[in-house]
Amino acid sequence: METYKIELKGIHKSYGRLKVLKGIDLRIKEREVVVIIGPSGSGKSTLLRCVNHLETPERGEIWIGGERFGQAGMEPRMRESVANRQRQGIGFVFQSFNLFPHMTALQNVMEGPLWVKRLGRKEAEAIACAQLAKVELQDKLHSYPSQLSGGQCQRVAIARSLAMSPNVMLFDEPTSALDPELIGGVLKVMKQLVDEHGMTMLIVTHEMGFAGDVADRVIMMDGGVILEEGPPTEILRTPRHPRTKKFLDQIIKPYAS
Amino acid sequence: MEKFLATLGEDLKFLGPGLLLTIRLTIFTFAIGSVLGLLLAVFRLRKRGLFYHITGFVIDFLRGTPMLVQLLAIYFFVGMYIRTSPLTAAVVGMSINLSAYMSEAYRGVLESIHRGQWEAAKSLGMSRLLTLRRIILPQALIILLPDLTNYLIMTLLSSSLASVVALRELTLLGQSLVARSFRVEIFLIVALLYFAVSYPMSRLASWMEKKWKHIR
Repeated sequence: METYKIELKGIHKSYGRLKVLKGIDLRIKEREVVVIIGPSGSGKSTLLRCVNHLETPERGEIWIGGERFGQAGMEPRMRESVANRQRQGIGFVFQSFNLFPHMTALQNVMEGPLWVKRLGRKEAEAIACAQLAKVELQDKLHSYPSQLSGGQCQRVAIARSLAMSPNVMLFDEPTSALDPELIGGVLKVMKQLVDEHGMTMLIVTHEMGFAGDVADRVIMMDGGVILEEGPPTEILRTPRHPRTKKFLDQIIKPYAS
Repeated sequence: MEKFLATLGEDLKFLGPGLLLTIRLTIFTFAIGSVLGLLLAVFRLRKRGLFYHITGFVIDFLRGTPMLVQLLAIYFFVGMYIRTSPLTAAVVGMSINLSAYMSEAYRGVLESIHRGQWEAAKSLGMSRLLTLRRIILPQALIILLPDLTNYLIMTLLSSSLASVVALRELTLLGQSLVARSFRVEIFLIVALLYFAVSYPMSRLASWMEKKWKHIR
């Protein structure tokens, strides 16, 4: 039997009466890069947030590396502390970066190793410097987020996640809040992660060119379900589902319809 | 004028201990009130449960009744059962009152800190308590520091109300000096003494406001 890095079974999530996810099943292998596309409101961000329990699904199971996430049946407080431990192995990159504004880039990246992993200050600093160098920000160590561009902020945020040495990375529209000329730098860092580290990644994005380049598999979501999935060439070039086709047309030529 | 200056030295000598007591009262009250207010705000972050509703009502009550009356009530009512010195009564009454106001100020700031900050910390595996300590509170305090200074000034000024429980602080000493000497200008000296303490603090508040602009 094949083991999966991420396994979602029948995930349901709703906000009040609004059903956002209607039974999602998804299996992701180790080192696989999966890109989720779909119109806004299709539930793709919610799905991603469910994977590390930023949102708690009402029904369904989440397995990470063969371990049930936030084991059911536990006392809530206990479950939360188990979830906190499990989250350490999962990096999450937000659309709006969510850097800590009262800390420098270096302090932002050190925070996890220092306070969660409880490493010594020197060790944490060494890790942080190395990660910031990887995202080409070695000369911005002591800058505050407010002194950095959006693209630089997002690269700090990626470094902050990587400093926890996760084995899964989740990206929630990492370039959607960026000016067009700053997107490249962030995508480059992400591509590097795929090429050099073989990281298991789940990415929600509208960057179709990037998706085609790095994805092993593309998933099209709409209305809280997975509409279709397959290799990028198939989904992005010759989609079977008319809604996928329409969505891709709108992204490529927004002015056409 | 000459007469005024001639007696000034003696007046200050008389009022001095009152000013010191006022400052002590202010510091005690502020230390207790601000910590109590912070604890209240933190424990009220989750808006449910008996504690939330009870403390909510108490806060409304404290903010909806005059502090002067609260001080009198504590001094005379509690004093019937437990021996209460004027200083204790004033510190207890004023710090409870202050904590009610400050818990609302803290709450406002804690809630204004973006949800994304909690989520980012969570995604690193930080617990709720650690997040509060490392991420949320430092930001809240930086935002609040100028306000905190203003609360400190407010505490200093409202400490003059403690004169009603016979605490020999600055205002009461001023009053007694006027009563004895019939020189009304003493109140001007008293006012200037308060101002001498509060003015540097308000300057400090606006300086801090500028200094941490980049984080807001």
